[in-house]
Amino acid sequence: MENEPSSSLFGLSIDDQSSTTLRTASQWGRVLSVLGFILGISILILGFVMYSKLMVSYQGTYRGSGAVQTAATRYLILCIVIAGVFITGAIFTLNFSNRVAIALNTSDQYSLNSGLIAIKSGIIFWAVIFIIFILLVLLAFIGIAFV
Amino acid sequence: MEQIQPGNTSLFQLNLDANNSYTLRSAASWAKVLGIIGIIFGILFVGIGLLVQNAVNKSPGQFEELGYRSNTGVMENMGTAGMVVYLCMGVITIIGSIFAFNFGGKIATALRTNDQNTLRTAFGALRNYFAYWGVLMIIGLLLMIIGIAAGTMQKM
Repeated sequence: MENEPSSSLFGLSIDDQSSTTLRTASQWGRVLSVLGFILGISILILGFVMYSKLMVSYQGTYRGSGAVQTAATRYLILCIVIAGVFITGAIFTLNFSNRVAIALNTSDQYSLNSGLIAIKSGIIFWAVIFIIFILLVLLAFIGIAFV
Repeated sequence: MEQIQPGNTSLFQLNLDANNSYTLRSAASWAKVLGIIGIIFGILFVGIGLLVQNAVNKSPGQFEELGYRSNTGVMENMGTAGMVVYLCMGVITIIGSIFAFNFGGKIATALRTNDQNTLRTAFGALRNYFAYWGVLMIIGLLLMIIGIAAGTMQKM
């Protein structure tokens, strides 16, 4: 490995090929983050629209209005949480994309460091979210089994 | 425009110094965790799909026991459709997780063996991961728009 022309004297480096791949990754990351923002905001809007429609259509009716209002509030909270997850994930991805793009354009080592920290944070974020989801699914299964 | 600090740039190109390596190593470990959890999640999706199909297919009999009329064909179709949706979601999650696991594994190997080629393929895996989810998100958003448009057209 030491004789490879692309490896630097002191260790690994971002050579031309790696730079091209990272640039494409950062472009796709930007696309992903913009779509994440759009999806998050759409879910938020959808949640508020559904909430207001349910509240307005059941307002003043006697039967089941309390249950519908509770369900609508729960639905709104769920939409806010899901939108928050998507938007936070998109922020990490956008951070990575912007910083890596700056690092590759200006050969700035500091931006590369912060870009890599951003991708690490993004991966940790999604891993923790997945762990929480799996735990919730398992809890649901346990609940069903006991019922 | 950002000012390039003299201390921040290497002579020819960007390097993976000790600080970077540590961050990348940590990212690789978490990417592996994300990959494994994603695969478990995907398998759970497939399992839930099978359970849903089973439950929906059984339900016409339960309706009839209660004295209601039921349409067995429609219920079976619904069960199969539900299973297909869950199956697709499971497969999508598993493929995305394989990309994440690939990235983690290759970064770890590159840092351990100081292999530039493996580092390149690791960045390639990261690119594939982003591209995969990007394309899927575009498809998902398009389907959402089509669904909303169809719902609005039906109401008119």
